[in-house]
Amino acid sequence: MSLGSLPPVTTDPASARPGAPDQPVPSLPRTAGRTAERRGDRAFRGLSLSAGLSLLGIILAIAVFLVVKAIPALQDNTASFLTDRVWDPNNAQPAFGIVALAFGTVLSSVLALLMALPVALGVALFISHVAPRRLAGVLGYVIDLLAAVPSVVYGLWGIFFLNDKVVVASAFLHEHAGWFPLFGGDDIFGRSIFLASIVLAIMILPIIASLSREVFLQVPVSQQEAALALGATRWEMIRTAVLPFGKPGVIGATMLGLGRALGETIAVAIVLSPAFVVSLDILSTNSGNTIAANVALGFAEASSTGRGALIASGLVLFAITLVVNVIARAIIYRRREFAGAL
Amino acid sequence: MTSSAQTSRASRVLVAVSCVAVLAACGTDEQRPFDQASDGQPAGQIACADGSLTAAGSSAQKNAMDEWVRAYQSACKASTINYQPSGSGAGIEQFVAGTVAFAGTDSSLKDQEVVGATARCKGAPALNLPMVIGPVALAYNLPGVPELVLDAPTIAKVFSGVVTTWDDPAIAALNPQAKLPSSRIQPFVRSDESGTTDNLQKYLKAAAPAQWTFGTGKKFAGPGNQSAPKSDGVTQAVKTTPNAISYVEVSFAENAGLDVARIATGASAPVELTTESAAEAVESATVKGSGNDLALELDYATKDEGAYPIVLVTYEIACQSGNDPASLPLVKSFLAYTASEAGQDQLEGAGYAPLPSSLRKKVEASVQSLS
Amino acid sequence: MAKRIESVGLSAYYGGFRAIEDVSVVIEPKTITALIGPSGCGKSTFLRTLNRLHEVVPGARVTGQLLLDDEDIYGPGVDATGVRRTIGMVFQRPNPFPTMSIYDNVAAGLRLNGVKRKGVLDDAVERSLQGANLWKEVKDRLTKPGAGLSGGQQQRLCIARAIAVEPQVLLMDEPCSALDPISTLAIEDLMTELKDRFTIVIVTHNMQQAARVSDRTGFFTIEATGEPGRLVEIDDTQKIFSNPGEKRTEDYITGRFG
Repeated sequence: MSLGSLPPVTTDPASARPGAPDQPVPSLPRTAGRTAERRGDRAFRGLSLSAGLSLLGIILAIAVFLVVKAIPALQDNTASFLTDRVWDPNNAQPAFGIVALAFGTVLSSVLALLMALPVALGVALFISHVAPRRLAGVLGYVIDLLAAVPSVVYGLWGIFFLNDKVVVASAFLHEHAGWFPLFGGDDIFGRSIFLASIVLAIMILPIIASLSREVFLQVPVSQQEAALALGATRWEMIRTAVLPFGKPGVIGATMLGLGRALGETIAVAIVLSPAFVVSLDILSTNSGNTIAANVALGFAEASSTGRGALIASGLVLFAITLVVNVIARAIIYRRREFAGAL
Repeated sequence: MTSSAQTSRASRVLVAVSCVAVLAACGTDEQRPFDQASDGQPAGQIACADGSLTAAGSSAQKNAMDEWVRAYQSACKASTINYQPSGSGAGIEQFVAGTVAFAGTDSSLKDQEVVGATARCKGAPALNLPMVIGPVALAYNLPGVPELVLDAPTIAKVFSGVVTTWDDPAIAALNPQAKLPSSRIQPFVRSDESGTTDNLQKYLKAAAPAQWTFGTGKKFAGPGNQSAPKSDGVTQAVKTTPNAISYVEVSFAENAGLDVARIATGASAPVELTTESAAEAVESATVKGSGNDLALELDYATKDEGAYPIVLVTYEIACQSGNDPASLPLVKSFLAYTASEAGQDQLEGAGYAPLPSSLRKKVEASVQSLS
Repeated sequence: MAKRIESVGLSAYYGGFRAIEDVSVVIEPKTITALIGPSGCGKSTFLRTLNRLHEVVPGARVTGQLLLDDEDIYGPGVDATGVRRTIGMVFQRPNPFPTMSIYDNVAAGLRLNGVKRKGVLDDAVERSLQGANLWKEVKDRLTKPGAGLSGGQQQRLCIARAIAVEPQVLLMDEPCSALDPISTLAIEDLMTELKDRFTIVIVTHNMQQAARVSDRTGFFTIEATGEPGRLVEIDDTQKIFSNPGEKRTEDYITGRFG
């Protein structure tokens, strides 16, 4: 028998496209139902628009509130707000500067992020790609639970339980790696920026891990099989297919964690022995202070100028958070062509 | 381990941790000997007034006010009293703005505050009424040294990093009997702004002017100390840190079972902190206010026998006249109760000392004169 | 470099479910073998056993032998990742790595093999893209994302990615089912060219395609839902489509099936 009896080769594009133009099209329905749908659409658009606008309005209102409340205090300030390290706004001659607070805020948060991020990614990958399903379920649940624990609990745990251990570890680090810029300084009695950073790291770890796990679970199976089919090991598959795909999401999760670390108030206030210094000696007691913790500790007994000064510091925190988010957006935007979720 | 066992263990840990949180937050509410008596007993002695009033100010008074408000309201069911511990400065601001009936403050009105307060009182003077006496203890954690004597210059040196070890000659000279270790002193101060800090610094400035050159104020000014937030925080820090010392309201030291130093004032013997010795210091204070204004000039450098020098006197600020007629009866009734013997006795278990009776009677008279 | 594949009594399982049973077949080097059959008949599963990709699904396992030039790829001590480096695969839906450029997609497999020298990578990328008939279309935009290409181009990019590591066998799992007919033709032409260098096994639902491109055709089917898939027969393509040995094959080919 010859090949001639085989079914003919199909090259007609129309056959691959159901609903091609030459099919008869029923005339469009023009009934009352359509207007109702329009009305629903309009209501939905109005609702979502006003929700979006109200969010902008709230942010604007916060910014205006902070500025208005801060101005009188800033006018009374006898020091330079942006360059001085003192903080004595309740004095008859109020003097306060943001430098030490801003430095301590950023330093502790960045350290927390450096400690939390690798662990969080490890946990997320373990749950999404390594652990047996049942264990992964339990772990995921525990992580979500940890993310919901109020920060005061972390603070109390940090001071009651962790402080002693951190003192021992700090002394060890100082003795054996004192040449490292962060491990200098004496007076290692705990309540240091190091302790605060560890507590912050533990606090933001579940947030980053939980969100990253969600992102990693979104990686299409086809991408992972593509890597495996090239002969990738599990780790190579994760590096080739999972991590790059999850990168924007991980950056988002990281920024959320960093935002929480920057703004964390009570946990830091509990564990830190604050000092208005700019110092890299993170192991030392009195190695720094953060904006949010300073507000918590100073607000209750502040004079009106003192409150204005604290609000001005809040404004700076607002600005720092904004800058961090803009940077994160910029990173994601720069690589938008390669965003995995397209 | 099954997942449910794991979960329940996790939640048990959580519960335990949050209990710690609650205890730490309200440590002083426990172990008050007057707790049982407070609900019924004083009822007969209170001349009730109806209505509601709002007051605000000093957080050092918070526990005293809570105690008084509870007792007063349980005796006078038709009354509502709301004291907001927003801080002395904020309390006075609210008083000047007319949003509260009276204010609580850690120090008598300053000159610049008097102007606004007088305006609020429609030209009449605003009265400083001493109401709550809070002695400040120097609590320490030094195993094997249950008795310790300190004087103002030594305290100043300890809290400014000049004296750094427990066997320093300055301490040894005051404690010839004690076996002082050579370990390093761990001084703790309040990391938040506090009237207690202000009080200690005022004491040091008055009683050890040569050694304490850092000034006063609610923020600790001396160099090189460790710090912890709130009274609970420093109490816990001292309790868990060997060789630590700090200053804290006496009730916190007592509840935590910490040793408290006696103060060598120049009197014949070092003074132990008791309600009597605290009242004695207030007794020896001079009234600097005129008429019904009872602002006190406390002599921190007192050498009177049996007078404990580090005490915080907090005031209620009320208008001599020009009060809102709607709330005046309740203000007078409530303050009359707080200044009464029963009201003052109510506080003893809460870490406060009662007003000496001569001063207490003057306060009662001033309260009666409000109009 | 193309190798001969022989399966001996091969069965594949998902947990307790047996997806294919007792498949024995010989696939000669430098031929194209098409696997056809109704949905769920196990032909894709069989394809995935050929490069040990079947076992990445939790609970999945394989029994029997699979000989690649007489070496059992399921033998003790054989590394699955090594097997997959010798046996490339192209999937049903084009799946270039969306976060990578066209260049990086093609170079991905080489980089996994530890190739780092730019010159070597450049050569391999160009050679592979040319081999996949894609070079002319993309040579000016190698740094652009692979996901920005059309569906047919993406699939040829995936083929380039698969052949860049110089495998001995190329598996294709319905490679044209998501493509338009023009792209389909381009891929089919490509397969015919690649046959000179690789042993190709293709799973397809499109019987015309099987008839057009393959040298040999195997027909899989299942008796009923829940039963394992079986290889009914495998023979020269011409024979299968003109004079199949089994009635079931004839029924399926002539459209009398299901």
